[in-house]
Amino acid sequence: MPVTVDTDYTAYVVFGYSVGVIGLLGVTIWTVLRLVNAQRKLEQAEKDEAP
Amino acid sequence: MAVMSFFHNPHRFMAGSKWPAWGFTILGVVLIVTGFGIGFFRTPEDFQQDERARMMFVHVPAMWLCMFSYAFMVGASFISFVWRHALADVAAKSAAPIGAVFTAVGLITGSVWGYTTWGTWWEWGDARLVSVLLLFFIFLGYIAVWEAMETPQKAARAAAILCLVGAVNIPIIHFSVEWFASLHQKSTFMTTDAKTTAEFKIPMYIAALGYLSLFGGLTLLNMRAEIMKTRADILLQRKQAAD
Repeated sequence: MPVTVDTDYTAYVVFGYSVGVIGLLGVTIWTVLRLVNAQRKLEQAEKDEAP
Repeated sequence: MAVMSFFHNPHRFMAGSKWPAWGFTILGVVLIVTGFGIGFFRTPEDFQQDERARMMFVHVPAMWLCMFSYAFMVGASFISFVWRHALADVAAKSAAPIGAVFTAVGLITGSVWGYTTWGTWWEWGDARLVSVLLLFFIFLGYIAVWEAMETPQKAARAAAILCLVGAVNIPIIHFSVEWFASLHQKSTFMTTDAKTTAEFKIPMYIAALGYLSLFGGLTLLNMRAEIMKTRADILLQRKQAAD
């Protein structure tokens, strides 16, 4: 019985790029959100401390 | 040393880092989109690896940058350990999640590329694969140490020790394809042999510069967030003590 070899690798390449985009975009969004939350927390703390 | 002394003061760092942080982040995103775009849509198929070769523009820069991130953390941890520099711990701590993501991206894309080339998703006998997986666990361990210790001072000390000990893994990753029998190919870029044409080198270097710029930008943004959070905690503690 002949063995068929799958030579269409488009789905694998697209998956690889998707992993890259999701990973890099994810860490960028996470960092920006972390910065925004820290900024809010600091502003609130400074407001509370002001006489 | 002069730069180290200058940035010993977090106020100076905060004043000087805002625009570079956003600038490097935006530049990184633009370069990565350009590199990925050229790599995916414009680069011709390789004569041996056909369209699978396009995976390199995601995988290879991720692998370079995961090692670079860790080397950066080792440098920062060493400075923290020897000179007790105020921002060195913050720099190492801020780089760790970004390095962990680069490593995860490198591992997953490498596994997919490996399956289409070698016919297996993973090979436990391959030193390159296993040493990179170990690096990923070191990143996770480093992040966990920061969360687990009672005080930031203790966490910084323990994390710096872990980071310095884990540095032994970096040359193992780099030279594993030379030292051990491996499914993984030997170095193709960064060699004097003309193995790679400009059609592959240009998008590769654009993407790699993008990863590097993104790493710099996100590390600076993370450092700024860390400093703001520490400052807010101090103010809250001071208020609670006064009340």
